[in-house]
Amino acid sequence: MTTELIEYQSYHDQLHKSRSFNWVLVRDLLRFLRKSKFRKSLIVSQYGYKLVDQYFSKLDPQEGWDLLEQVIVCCLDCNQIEKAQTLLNRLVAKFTTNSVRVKRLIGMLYECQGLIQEAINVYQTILQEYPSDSMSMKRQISIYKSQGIHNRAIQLLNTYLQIYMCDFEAWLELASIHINLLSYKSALFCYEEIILNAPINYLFYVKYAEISYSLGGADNFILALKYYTHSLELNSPLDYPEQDHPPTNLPSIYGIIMSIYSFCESSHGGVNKLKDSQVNLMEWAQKQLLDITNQYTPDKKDIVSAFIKLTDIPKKSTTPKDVEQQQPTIEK
Amino acid sequence: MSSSISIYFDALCKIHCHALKHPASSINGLLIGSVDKKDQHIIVKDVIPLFHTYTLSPLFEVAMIQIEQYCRINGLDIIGLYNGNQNLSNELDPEPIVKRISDILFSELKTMSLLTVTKIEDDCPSGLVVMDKAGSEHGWIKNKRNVVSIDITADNKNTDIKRTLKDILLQGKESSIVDFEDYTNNPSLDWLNKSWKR
Repeated sequence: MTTELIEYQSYHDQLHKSRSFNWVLVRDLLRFLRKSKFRKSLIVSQYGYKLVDQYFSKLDPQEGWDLLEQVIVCCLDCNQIEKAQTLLNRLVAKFTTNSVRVKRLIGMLYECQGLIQEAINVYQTILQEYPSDSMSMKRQISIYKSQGIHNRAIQLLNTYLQIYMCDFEAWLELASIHINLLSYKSALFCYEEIILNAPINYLFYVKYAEISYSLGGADNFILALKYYTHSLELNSPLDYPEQDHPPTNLPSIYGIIMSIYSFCESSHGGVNKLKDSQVNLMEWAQKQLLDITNQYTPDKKDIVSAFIKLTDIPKKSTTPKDVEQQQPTIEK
Repeated sequence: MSSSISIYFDALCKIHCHALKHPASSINGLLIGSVDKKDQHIIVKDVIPLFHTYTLSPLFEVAMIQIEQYCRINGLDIIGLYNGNQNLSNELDPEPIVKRISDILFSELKTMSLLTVTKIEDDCPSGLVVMDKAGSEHGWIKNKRNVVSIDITADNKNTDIKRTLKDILLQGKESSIVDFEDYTNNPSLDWLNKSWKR
């Protein structure tokens, strides 16, 4: 993810620096965006349109048509209906309206023009012919979402997920609707499915922890803490000195501090219920946070130190036997 | 509730740039500035962009603690929230989480405002709508009377927000706005946007 972000940034900078239109660069950018699935519609509709409009003969024929489809979708995303219509006419001339991909684009054009019912009709005709066309099903769901009819969107997504249980992007979508409606319990369930599908992606553990924390309550804070810790096992700031990118898992470090702090503040929690390992974890997180701040944003040192001070937990009241072992680490 | 709201031009640009950077998702952020005690006039001097995907408790709390600290050091106040909705069809109905945060801010601050990003038009030159707390719980609706006036006392060169935003978009500068979420993914970024210039 991060390497892709860096790659995108370099494309972005090159594009804005070059004075003349560098069609090879634009083609490569569009290729990269297709692969990485970033949604950068503005830049694609701006540069990509010029590419397929004026440099179409230079492109590889097969790729040219793919590019056309990509640019149309991005134009629709930016409400540039006329551009999209012009390009779509070219596709219709080549492939006729019998092609499912062209039909779907026509449906999306309707959506953009606000002709929602027409769009739904187009998708339903496709589905009658090809009942397993998942893209058209997803378009229908997104229509309901865009209209703010969340219940219907959830209902359709559930039907969809009964067929395509392994589509974790659909689970993500369902989770995002549940989060939007503040039904965190359902969102947690979705993220469990997502983690089963992609067990080594640290990001989903972070999100799971954040949702669990949002639910509140001492048990959920500890649950969040566990997931944060696991995400750090998958993406640890300690791995970063060898890489030339700053650590990306700050949410987990902050999350650990907040979970332990909130656990101590909550009515069923308390500092004395913390395990020693959890106290150590807190110190580790605080130290990491300070180190990262010192290294990358020294100007925010005051703010971050104040944050650490505010969220610090009181000393655990220990039995005299433990004092000797505990004292030095807590002092630090 | 406040009687009137004015906003610095740079702050206004930042709000719109944050919205333009993430056209496909809902965004939110905090309004920073001061309140005139006499006539409850709110002056938005700066904004701090917060999130562009989900707004969930842990990082929001972290952001609030740090921003409070920043405000204390610099003699500013948190005076409200701005948001941009994901959907155009119900853009003037803030998301549940935004309403919940606004409720909390409202009960803490009394004088605060919730601004929602909308289309820049002649009858809405700032592209911001003031939302008022409605009687029932979690209700926030558009205030028909109040408009956000653009304060140009700070810098008085170019005040055409539409043209300014067009320039920014052509140069791709909107992508260099950093919100708190970006910072947590890359700690070398500055969520205060100190070096950002339009």
